[in-house]
Amino acid sequence: MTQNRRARLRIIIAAAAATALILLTQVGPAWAVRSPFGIATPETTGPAFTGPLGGFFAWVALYQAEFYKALTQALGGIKHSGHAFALLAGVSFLYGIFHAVGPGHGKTVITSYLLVSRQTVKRGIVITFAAALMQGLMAIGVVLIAAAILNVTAVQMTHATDWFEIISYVLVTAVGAWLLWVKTIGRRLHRHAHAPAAHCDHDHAGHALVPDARLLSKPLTVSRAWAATLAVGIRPCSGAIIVLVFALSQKLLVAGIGSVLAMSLGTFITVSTLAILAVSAKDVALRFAGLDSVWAERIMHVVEIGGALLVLLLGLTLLGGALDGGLPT
Amino acid sequence: MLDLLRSSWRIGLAAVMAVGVSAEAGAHPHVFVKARAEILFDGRGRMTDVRNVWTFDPAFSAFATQGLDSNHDGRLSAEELAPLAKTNVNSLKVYAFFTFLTVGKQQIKFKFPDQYFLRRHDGRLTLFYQLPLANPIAPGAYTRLEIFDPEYFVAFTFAKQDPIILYQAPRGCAAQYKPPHPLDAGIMAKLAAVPVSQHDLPRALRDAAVGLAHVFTVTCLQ
Repeated sequence: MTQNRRARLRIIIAAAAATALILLTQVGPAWAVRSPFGIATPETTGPAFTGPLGGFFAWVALYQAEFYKALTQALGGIKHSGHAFALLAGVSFLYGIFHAVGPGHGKTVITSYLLVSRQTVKRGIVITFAAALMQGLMAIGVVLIAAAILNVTAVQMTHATDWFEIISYVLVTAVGAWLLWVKTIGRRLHRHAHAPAAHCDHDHAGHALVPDARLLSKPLTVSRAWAATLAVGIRPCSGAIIVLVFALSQKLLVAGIGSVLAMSLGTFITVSTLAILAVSAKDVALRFAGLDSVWAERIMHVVEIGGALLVLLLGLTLLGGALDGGLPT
Repeated sequence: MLDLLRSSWRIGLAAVMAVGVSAEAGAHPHVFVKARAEILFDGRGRMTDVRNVWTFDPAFSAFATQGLDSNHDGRLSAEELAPLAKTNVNSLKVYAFFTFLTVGKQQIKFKFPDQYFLRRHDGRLTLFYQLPLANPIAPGAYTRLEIFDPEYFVAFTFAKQDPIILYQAPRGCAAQYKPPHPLDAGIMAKLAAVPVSQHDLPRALRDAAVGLAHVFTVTCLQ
């Protein structure tokens, strides 16, 4: 490849990366919404069915609605038929798959976290599994304690989950801020501390491609992974809570718990697929761009700073939106 | 040159995937409402109130009534349900009650509901509430009542029989119900064909396009 061609290639790739970033921040807008009935706060949502993928999301929403309806009907049918249990598990699983394609900041946070902190596909799968399972367990925990033991009202339960939502947004903001720190100031501090000045250029290129596990001590990275997992998993989804309370009212709590766990499994399938796609897409793009490591590293670095900013801004936007109408009381 | 094309194509694909991965879109319903709309008229042929009768699905009804049976008699009295009814209408205000009334080209304003209550029957909750028009007005040649949730958290359906009732309407007044378009392949294709620059459609039109609005037209012949 000639020198000239390479230069043009770099410009195109840099432009593509910049475009991707701008698009990422444009597609990102999400805001907290209040429940129209004062109970069961909807998941945060972006504009309804607009944008280039609007048709696709309308289609997803349609199927979610169908599966959700089928799910609640299957739960109601368990009393009359033994087969209904398998039906319930299947429909819950499908609902989880479609639900995770729909709204929610979870996917953005998880994929950005995985990309920016340069996690492997394997760790990506572990983290998405932990987040999906945690979200299900949170719903089960809330309903067991609040409804089954304390017998509080839907309004009080909604307040509790609104608080979890705020904690989730604080964590998203914290994860974003941490990623930004690591990719900017923290990175420089680290380099000054460890790289001898004479070998700075060489060291920079080779070294920075090593995952951040080297940048920070391992336990700390694990704890940040937990922060990202918590940020996504701490807020139980309204659908799961409604299904569990409905199950409880029908004296079918065990079936409800099974349904929610199947939902979590479905969510895991979707989010981990997206995470694997995102991590592999980055690797493939870098490999096929055929860039030398210095350029690849520079572009990656810019993209990562953008990703960190995206998470930080998303956290702040969501937090601002959630606190806009005052704290839940 | 071929190399160049190949790598930019790949980068482009990666960018599209990245965007797809992070895209956020509309919600999906956790509340299914079987609705009926009623328009109340005064003696001078003017519309004074819109009354909504909304029956919730069993799952949401169970959730909504959790912990409300304070005297544990297994029934929910009007008193036990009253605070929830109040929470419902207070919360619906932000969403303009999902109820949009247009006379000619004029968007009609509503006052806060003066009457509202909940009843439970057969495991389902029904919310009744009445929206007074800020200024009563005759339907004239063209009145349009739309009921829908643009965020699609609430999925409305209307009964085939009597989806709307006109109370004490003058002779010659009639209402017609147009259900939302089913989200079929044709609509999906049309949506996909709309250029990105045109996505700033007026809200009502946009939502009608995705088939969420229930539209009633009221006409009064003189």
